[in-house]
Amino acid sequence: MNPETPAKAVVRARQEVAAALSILLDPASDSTSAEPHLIDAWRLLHQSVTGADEAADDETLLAWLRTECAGLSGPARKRVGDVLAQLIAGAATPSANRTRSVSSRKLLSHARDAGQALDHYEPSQRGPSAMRMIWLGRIAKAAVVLVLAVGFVVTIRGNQDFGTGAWHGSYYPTKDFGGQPTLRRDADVNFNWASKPPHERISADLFSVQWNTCLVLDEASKALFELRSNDGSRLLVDGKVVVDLWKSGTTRRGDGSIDLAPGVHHLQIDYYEVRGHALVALRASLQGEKPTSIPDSLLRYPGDNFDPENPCGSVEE
Amino acid sequence: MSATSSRALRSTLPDVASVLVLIVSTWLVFTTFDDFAISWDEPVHLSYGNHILDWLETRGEDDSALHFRRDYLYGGGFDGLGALARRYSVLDPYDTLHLLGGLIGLIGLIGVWRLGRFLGGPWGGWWSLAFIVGTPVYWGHMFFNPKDGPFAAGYIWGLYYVIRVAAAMPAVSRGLWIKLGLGLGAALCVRIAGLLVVCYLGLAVVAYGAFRGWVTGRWLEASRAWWSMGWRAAISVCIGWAGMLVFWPWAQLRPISGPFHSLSNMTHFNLHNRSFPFGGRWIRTYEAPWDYLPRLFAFKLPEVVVVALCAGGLLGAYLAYKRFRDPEQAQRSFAHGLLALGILLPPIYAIVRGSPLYDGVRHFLFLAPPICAAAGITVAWLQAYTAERRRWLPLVLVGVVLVLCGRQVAVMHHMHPIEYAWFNAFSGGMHRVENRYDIDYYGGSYKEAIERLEEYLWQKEPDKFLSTTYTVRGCGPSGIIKRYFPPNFEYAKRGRFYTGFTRAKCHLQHGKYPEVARVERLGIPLNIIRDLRPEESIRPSKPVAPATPPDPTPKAAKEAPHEP
Repeated sequence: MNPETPAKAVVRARQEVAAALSILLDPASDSTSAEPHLIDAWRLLHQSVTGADEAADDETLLAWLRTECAGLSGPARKRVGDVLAQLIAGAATPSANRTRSVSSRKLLSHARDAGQALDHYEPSQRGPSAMRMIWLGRIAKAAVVLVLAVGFVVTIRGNQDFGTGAWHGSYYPTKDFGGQPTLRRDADVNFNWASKPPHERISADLFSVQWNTCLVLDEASKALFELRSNDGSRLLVDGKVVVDLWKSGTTRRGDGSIDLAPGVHHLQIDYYEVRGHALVALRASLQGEKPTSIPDSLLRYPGDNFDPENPCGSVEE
Repeated sequence: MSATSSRALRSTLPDVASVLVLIVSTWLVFTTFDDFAISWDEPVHLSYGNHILDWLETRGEDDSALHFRRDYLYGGGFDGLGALARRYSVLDPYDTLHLLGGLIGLIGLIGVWRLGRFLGGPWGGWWSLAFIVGTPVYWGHMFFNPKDGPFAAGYIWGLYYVIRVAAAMPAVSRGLWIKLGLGLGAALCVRIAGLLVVCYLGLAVVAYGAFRGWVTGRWLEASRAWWSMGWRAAISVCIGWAGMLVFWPWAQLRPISGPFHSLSNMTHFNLHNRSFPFGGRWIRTYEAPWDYLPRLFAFKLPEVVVVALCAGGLLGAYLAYKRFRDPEQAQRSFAHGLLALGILLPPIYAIVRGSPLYDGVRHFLFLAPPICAAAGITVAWLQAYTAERRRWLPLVLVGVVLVLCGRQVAVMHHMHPIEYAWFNAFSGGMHRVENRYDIDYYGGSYKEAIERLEEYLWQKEPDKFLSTTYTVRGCGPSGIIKRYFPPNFEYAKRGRFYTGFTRAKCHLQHGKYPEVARVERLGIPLNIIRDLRPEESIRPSKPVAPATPPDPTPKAAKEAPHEP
């Protein structure tokens, strides 16, 4: 046993531990065959760590193992040292007189301890290129986890409003805008609550909502709007009703158009739900495109405490 | 750079590349999952998942899961997990299922990589991963096939651990037996066909004992090996079995006999006896010719995979013949033999038994991952073999295979999100399979078809688009087609627009009416939309007169609001 470098010695130590494990895990094998592999593994590890040219004698090895060997706790070092001492003593006995000194269960645990110590020393002993590879592996795993995490966050953020939407929503606990409203910022007015409540403080039936936002246009536009709701709803643009579905009953759809000059325009949606299925959705075509939700880039939040008389007063063009 | 670090870099290169591919694949799953249409099977599995959760939450009081269609005979691993995910998801229910399916498909990709790496080293892992990522039929099904997609992922992990156990015998660690149990559970919890993996495990144990007896010449030794490996394998099967039962209410009531009853029922499956095109002629589900599966796999997998698989098969047969004479060599090849078994046994069984076959290779999708692993291992072997002869040869090989993989990426980009409909050049190309094979059997083109119809109508009649209710009819389950409708579309049996996919030649119906839009891939139509309306049939909505708002200011506007 005369390895050239600490790196080679630690690799060989790992091979010895693997050989011992493969014998110990084989129910048909005699576990004593694993003992020489374990003794060699510790000698090689010690040689690699100390950088010695030759293997240490038994006493030095045991002393190092019991006091210095890193990667193992104090009690584990003592346990490992005791078992190794028994193994070394057993190995010195002529094979004809040898009896099993350590149970196979203890040997298996000893081999796992050796593996643990190797896990600690191997990266530093194998040299910078091995360290680089190990770090590369860690970075790669971290990158996969990071992509997964970012994917989840982006997916959830993209589909749930976290209070940054441009629509100021006032959710009332009655169907006629009475009582104390709960305020919420919504990114879009496109809800299909079915028979569920829109908010934990609001019941599934007999509630109403008013949304307000400010639409900023750079150029004149003939805007088309479509509202769909169950029960009643209406859309007001700058105070003028453009779509009126102010009626209880089944799901209805209505549309309307209005010429809008460049500048800021106030959009307001009133909605109420009596009972049964609850939904409300707005689509618009502002620049000749297929009707869809109004893009965020064209909307501005009117503020938490906007003035109903001048709702977009705080919004700059 | 020293020779050692250069060697280290070369051996790490395929691993680094594999991890990069996995990262890109993960990113693609997150950015594209909502592009995919809803397949015919998904609404049923969505309901089954809800019934499973109801069964678990009411501790068996709500027993609708026990007699839900024929699905009660299926393990509900994916469906139950999907129902659980939907409960907490902010996404639409089907988008949630698509994302979950995509993520489980990714786990399948990792399984292929691990298997290829285990049997073929880092390069084997890389090629296996590159091949499966470039297999459109696997990638497409990952998102919208709630049964065959997750089963394919479970099957590859089950097979991987069986192979690892077989290679490690007799020194199999406790951790590996437990992982094997989890792998078996992943396969069994979706389809009872996961019992195939249990059979491979049994075979591995029997074969290991036989090798032991053969090598030592002592058959007592063999029986000891059978016993010592057998009871450990049985514990793994019990772990997998327990995992299978978690989301399978019907089997929870008969944990032993139930799954076998289900297996027998599935092998006599007779729900879909219908006709479909195969090679230009129309055949029935029960009359599928013997070459149905081989031919479709040869046409649906990337060409490079088919070629590598054939080369690997020939090479494997030659090596098996050579090594069979030497028991120790034979044992070494056993892991590869198990992979071959995992690929060959299911189709051979189906051919011999005359099992009903339809919908392309979807029911045998679980063969795509091990096939890609086998192809990847073969290319890695060829790379090493050629490197011993000429230094430039492996470079040429790597270059050619990389170009072919790149072409697959381009194909998949073009086919997206209907990747699964792709046929390779061995079939003569997409234009040759039109009307000769079932292409878009899952209705993957309907989402895009409705978008195209909406776009067409908006462009053609923008002034009356919003005030008109357009009636549309389709070919296939209306419930799914309706889900893509904008508010001004209605489904009607006598709808004035028709959208038809290629299944049962639906796209050729109403041929005398003008085609207004089509969904096309690689030059062939996957869905054709026709305008069936005479002018007077357009039903305008009642015009809405602007009304004076009753009270634009809410009564309680001045009251102090709750903070959200």
